[in-house]
Amino acid sequence: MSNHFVIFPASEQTAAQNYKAGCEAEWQKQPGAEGDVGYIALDRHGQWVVPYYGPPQTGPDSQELVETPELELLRAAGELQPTVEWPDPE
Amino acid sequence: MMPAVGRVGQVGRQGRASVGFSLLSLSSVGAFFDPEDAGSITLSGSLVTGWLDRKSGIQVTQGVNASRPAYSATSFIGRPGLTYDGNDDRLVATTGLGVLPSGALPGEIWALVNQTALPADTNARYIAGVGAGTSVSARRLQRAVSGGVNRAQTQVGNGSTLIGAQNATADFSGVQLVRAIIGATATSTEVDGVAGAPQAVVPGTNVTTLVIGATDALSGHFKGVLNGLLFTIGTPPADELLQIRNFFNARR
Repeated sequence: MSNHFVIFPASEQTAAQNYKAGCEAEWQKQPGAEGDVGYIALDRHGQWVVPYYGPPQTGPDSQELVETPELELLRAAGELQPTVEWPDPE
Repeated sequence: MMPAVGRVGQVGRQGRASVGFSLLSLSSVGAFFDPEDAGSITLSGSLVTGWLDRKSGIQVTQGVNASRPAYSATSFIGRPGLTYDGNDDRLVATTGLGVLPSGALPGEIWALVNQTALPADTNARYIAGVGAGTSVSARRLQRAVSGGVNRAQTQVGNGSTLIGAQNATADFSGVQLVRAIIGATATSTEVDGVAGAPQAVVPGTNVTTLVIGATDALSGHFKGVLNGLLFTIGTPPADELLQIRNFFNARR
C-alpha cells in the first residue's frame, strides 16, 4: 500500500524505536487492527526507517490513519519522506 | 462501523476468464495465485493480509499493515488486482512450499502484471522470489533496467552464483504477460510471447521462502499491479502452455 516514511539519522535509533512503539500503541486502538502497523529497518545510508503513521496509509476501516500530536512529537528527530532508498538486493 | 476484515466477495466476472476454467486441473500447474478467485484473498480494509494459492493451498501473508498490498476489483485494467507500492509491499510464505520446484528441477513462473516502474527508477524490482534468502540458491522474476529501457529478467542460482537471463527485446512496461522459463540446463524470459535469449545454468535452488512482490530475501520491491501469478512444475507440455497463455491473454 502507499505510505510515507519517517527516516531517522543513524544516531537516532532510540528515537526511531520510540516512534515505532508509539505507532504500535496507537494502532492497537483501531477496531479490527491486525498485526503490527509498521517496522524498523535500515535504508542504504544506514538511517532508520519507520513507516509514517498517517496519510496515505489506511487502516482496517479503509480510512487514512490520523496522526496524533503525540506521534508528531515522537518523530521530531526524523524526516518525513514519500520513498525510501533501500539497500540493493543481494 | 464494522471493520472490513474478511474474504473478498464476488470478484469474478461473468463471461470472462475465471478460475472455473480448467487451468487448475492442468498437471503442470503447481500453484496459482489469482485475485479474481473469490475467497482467495483476505483483507483488512482494502489491504491484503493473506492470499491463498488455489492449486496447492500455499498461503502467503503479511502481518505488517504498512507492507500490505492493496486490493481493488478494478485496479488491473478494470479487473481485480493487487497493487504493490514499490516501497515495502510483499506477501510471504514459509510453509507448504514443497510443491514448488527446487534443486535442479525445471519450472516456470508466469505473471500477468501492469509494471509501472519507470526506466529512470533503476532499482531492481521483483515480482516474485523463491529460495532461502540468498541469491545463489534462488529463483526470481524481476524488472530490471538496461540501456534506459525496462526489461524482464529471470534469475536462477546454481548454488554458487546467480545467473540472469534478461529479455533484451521487449520493453517491460505496462501490461505484460511475463514468463520465467527455468529449464534443466538453460533459463530464459518471455514477454508477451517474445522469447529472450537463453542463459546456460543448471539450477541449484532451495525453497524455504516464497515472496510475492520482492525477493526471497525481502528486498527489491515490485511496483505495479498483479493480476495473476502461476508456478509450474517442470516444463508444461505444448497443449498446457497454450491453455495457460490463452487463459492469461483473455484477461487483457
